[in-house]
Amino acid sequence: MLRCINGLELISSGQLVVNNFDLADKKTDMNKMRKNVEMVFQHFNLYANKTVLQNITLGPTAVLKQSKAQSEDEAKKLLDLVGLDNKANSFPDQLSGGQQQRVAIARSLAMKPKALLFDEPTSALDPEMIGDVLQVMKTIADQGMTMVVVTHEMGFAQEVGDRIVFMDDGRILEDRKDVSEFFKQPEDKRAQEFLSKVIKHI
Amino acid sequence: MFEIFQNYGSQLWSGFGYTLLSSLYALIGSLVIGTLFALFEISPIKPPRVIGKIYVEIFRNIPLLVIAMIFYIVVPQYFAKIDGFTAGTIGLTIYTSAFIAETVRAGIESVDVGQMEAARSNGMTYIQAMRFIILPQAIKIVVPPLGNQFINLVKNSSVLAFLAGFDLMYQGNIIASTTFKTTDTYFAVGLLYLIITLPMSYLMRYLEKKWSTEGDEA
Repeated sequence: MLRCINGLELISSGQLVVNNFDLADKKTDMNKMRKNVEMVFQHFNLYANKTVLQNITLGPTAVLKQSKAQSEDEAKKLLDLVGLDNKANSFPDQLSGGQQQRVAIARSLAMKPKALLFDEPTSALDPEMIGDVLQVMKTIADQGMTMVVVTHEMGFAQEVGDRIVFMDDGRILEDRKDVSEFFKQPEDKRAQEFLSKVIKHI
Repeated sequence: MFEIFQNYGSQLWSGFGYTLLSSLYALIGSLVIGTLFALFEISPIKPPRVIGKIYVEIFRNIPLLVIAMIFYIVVPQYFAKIDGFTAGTIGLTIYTSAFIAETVRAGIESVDVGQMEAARSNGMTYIQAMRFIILPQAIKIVVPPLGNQFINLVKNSSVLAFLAGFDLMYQGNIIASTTFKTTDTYFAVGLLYLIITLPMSYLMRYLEKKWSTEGDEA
């Protein structure tokens, strides 16, 4: 679903409107739409040929046509926010997974998007790193950013989420705005099964 | 062999010059054309993809000599007259560009798809993503196989000898048939080819090593 919202995959039927752009319409300018919607990937996908700082400034300079100085200034502030201000000149392969993911979040924020998409941002991280990334995400959420997060981190979802959509096999099975109620009493059978397993597991 | 250089030195070096010049033209030409067709081949739109595939499959699978002969003998019958050097160089360029297209395509495709997805969702257009993210990474992957192509190109330039292209091989043939000192002559010719190709080999190895140990400074 995230890949559809971002136009990385085209929808085959139905309607999908993102920020007033109708994604089912072939005439929609995906590039324009993507300026307002940024994505954080499971495998980070930082630009391997760029430093951390360049990873963050490339979008603003190339797409938003911002000056280099301004972009770098903002990038440094964002690195500060994600706690990696000392890594500006490192290359992605010199960072740990958790650090890479935090850079990826900074890269997304640099575009000043209206919404952020997270595609299982912590699934590829080792358990110790997950906390740092979730902490950064929580900070951003508290600042009022709209975020769509696909995650298996139920604790995080419960704490930060305003709306829970439970999906299985590409279908929405349950869509709730009363988040804590969902975790106590899911209506859907598959959701009940899932939650009971996950909670047992913890 | 020393004697050959003494008596026919100017002829050999002139051939060396033509070989170098033809190789240089063909190298630049085939790199540009080859990269262009590689981009065609991986295009998200179908027509250029089909054109790219057809171009590569045709010119990769016809002997270089046949392509060169077509430019030397067939083309002048319908269009302007072309001398052997030009015909050979054009043939060499087209033939090599088909291999370079395949090499560059493979290089681009070996860059992780996540890089393109990240660039696109970062708001970049396809062309921006190619320019800033994909191609710079592909170049490093492609340098070693590209080096092979360039070395082959220099050696394949000996096809000019069939078209009166005044290249090294052509001069070598003439010297061999006038002096009958075939061994000396062809050893001398081989040596002169090495003067071009060995430094290329070393340069490629150097670049390969350099790029594998450090990141991109750009």
